[in-house]
Amino acid sequence: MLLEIGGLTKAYTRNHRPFAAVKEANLSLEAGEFAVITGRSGSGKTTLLSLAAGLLKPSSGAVVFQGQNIFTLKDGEISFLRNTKIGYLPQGTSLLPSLTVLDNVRLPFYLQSGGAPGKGPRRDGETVEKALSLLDRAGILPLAPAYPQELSGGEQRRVSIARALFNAPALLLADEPTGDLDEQTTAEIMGLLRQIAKGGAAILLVTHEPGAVCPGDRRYVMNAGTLTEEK
Amino acid sequence: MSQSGYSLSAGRLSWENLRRRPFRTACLVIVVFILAFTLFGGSLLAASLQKGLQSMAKRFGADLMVVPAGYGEKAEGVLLRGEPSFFYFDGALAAQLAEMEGVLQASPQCFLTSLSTECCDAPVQLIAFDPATDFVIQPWIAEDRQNGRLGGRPEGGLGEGQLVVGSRIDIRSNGTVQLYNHEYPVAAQLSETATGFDTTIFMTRRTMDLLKEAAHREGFGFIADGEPEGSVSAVLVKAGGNVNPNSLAQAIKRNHQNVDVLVSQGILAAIAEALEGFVAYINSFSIILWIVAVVVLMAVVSGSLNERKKEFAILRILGAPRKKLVRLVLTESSLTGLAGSLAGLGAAALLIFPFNTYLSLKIGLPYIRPGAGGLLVLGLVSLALSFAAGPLAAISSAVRISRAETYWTLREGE
Ligand SMILES: Nc1ncnc2c1ncn2[C@@H]1O[C@H](COP(=O)(O)OP(=O)(O)OP(=O)(O)O)[C@@H](O)[C@H]1O
Ligand SMILES: [Mg+2]
Repeated sequence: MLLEIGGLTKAYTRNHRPFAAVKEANLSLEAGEFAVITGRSGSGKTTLLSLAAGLLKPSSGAVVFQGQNIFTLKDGEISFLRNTKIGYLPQGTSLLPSLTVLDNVRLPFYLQSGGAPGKGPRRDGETVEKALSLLDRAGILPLAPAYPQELSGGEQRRVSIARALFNAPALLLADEPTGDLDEQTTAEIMGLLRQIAKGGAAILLVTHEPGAVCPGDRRYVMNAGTLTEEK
Repeated sequence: MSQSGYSLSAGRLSWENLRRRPFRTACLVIVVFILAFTLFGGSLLAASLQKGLQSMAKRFGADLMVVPAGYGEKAEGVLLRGEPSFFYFDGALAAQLAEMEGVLQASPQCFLTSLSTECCDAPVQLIAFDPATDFVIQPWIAEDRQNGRLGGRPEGGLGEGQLVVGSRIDIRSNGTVQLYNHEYPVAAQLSETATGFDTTIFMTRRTMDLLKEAAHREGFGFIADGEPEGSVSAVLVKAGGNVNPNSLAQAIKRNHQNVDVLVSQGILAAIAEALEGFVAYINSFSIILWIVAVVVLMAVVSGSLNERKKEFAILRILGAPRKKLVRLVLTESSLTGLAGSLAGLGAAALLIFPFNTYLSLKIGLPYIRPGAGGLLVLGLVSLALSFAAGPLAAISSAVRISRAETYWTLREGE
């Protein structure tokens, strides 16, 4: 099992009262699997993904990634895991405005001292090569020297995907990657995600798109913090 | 295809960030600039004044300076500020004072003012001393031997017609100074004192007589020409070992109605006191400014945090450890700190070095710039203090960013 979420609860304090954004969530995912979570706004989907990526600490429960409960890890270790094995596409735009598209994509390589050891590029020139090939794959190679502000929403989303793939993650968490896009672009982005799953990565996708689900996908619904799998 | 790429190091990322927020960056740099400018400028000023005072204290070989009544202030001007002046009284006083109880040594001096400014950029004070009794000028010459730029000085003293000149007197290439259309050989040039002595030319009494005669032949006249033979301008007095210079000054005034007595201890003490006040003022101002700068920088850095939450959230999502975020924030403040403090130091140096003399005159206190070593120490300390303000102000923000959990979820609209 690649990812195993068990009894995961995240309580916030709102209006001086504890309030569970995620309640006792359970979910498991194998390598190469494609899981889709739907649910109303405010039901806790983003919170769940943030917990799965180790960005938030849960009130209780565990996230076991490749056999390891990530909340027992130190910040350095969990950051390393996120950098090298977990791709995350946040809701909304998430590019750094001070860097070009190209530099945004190869940024993950530079966030761990010495880069990601064992795999990936070793020279700055190689990071450029790799970023360019990812941009090519996402269909936006000509935009490499542009700045994010000069891009459309769909183009920005593709850059985020290229960036999330830079270190070839085993798990890709995608939070409404087609949120505000037209049908055509949505279909293209979905196609890209399907391709990635074919490549062996597990994908956990939060979406409102009814057409996003394919036969063979695992389907989950989030409702007021409670996650249920639909068979 | 082989690509050449640069590294997206912490420095590079910080630089791109600073470039993208020119206004905020300018604020950070300017605060540190002002800080460095003030710290370096202030400490340089204070150190120069202290050095000036030390050098002046060394030069004050006499305990008392007896001058004609009413000329005390003018004499002080000659000593401290190099304002040329002349005044005369009966030369017999020197011998009388030498006999007086409590007086160890007494030696007369004669003042003359040269307006013929071939040698100098300002009117020059000429002082003649009596080699037989002098206990002030000749020791300087001996002490300053390493500064004696010119040879031809006979053993044991100054030869007839020879001059010893202050540090700011220009010597001709043939080793002479021209006074009243005559050239006089320079036996030695004294080192800088930042006092009136820097624009003074010293000679023996005999040389001054020769100089006046030569000047008369050229048609120059002197006010002193009307003075009776043997007139002097001042008598320098050294008090006996356990004699209080102040009481001795009182005693001299009681015995001689027509004199003023300057007590060098008193002059030095007054200057030292003024200087102490000035240095204390500079120091407290520097401390306050430093604190204000740190607070302002803290406000700027922390104010930009809200705007940058998203940026840090993205970095976290991409796998940046907390340490990396702290490093980015500190690198940014180090870059602005370095730019600001170097520029501030440079500006202070540019402003202060060329105006040394002007400042010295303006302040009215002896002023000597510290040597290369001293400058280096002052510069490094100012640099370190102003540079440190940036990272110090940023550290609390950096830690706050890296701690906050709620930042790390990116939602639409944030
Ligand atoms: N830091 C926080 N403090 C308190 N409450 C929070 C916090 N973050 C989120 N919440 C609440 O938790 C609930 C779940 O939020 P979450 O962002 O996970 O919803 P979502 O399902 O992603 O919604 P959307 O579809 O609109 O993106 C919401 O009601 C939100 O108001
Ligand atoms: Mg959400």
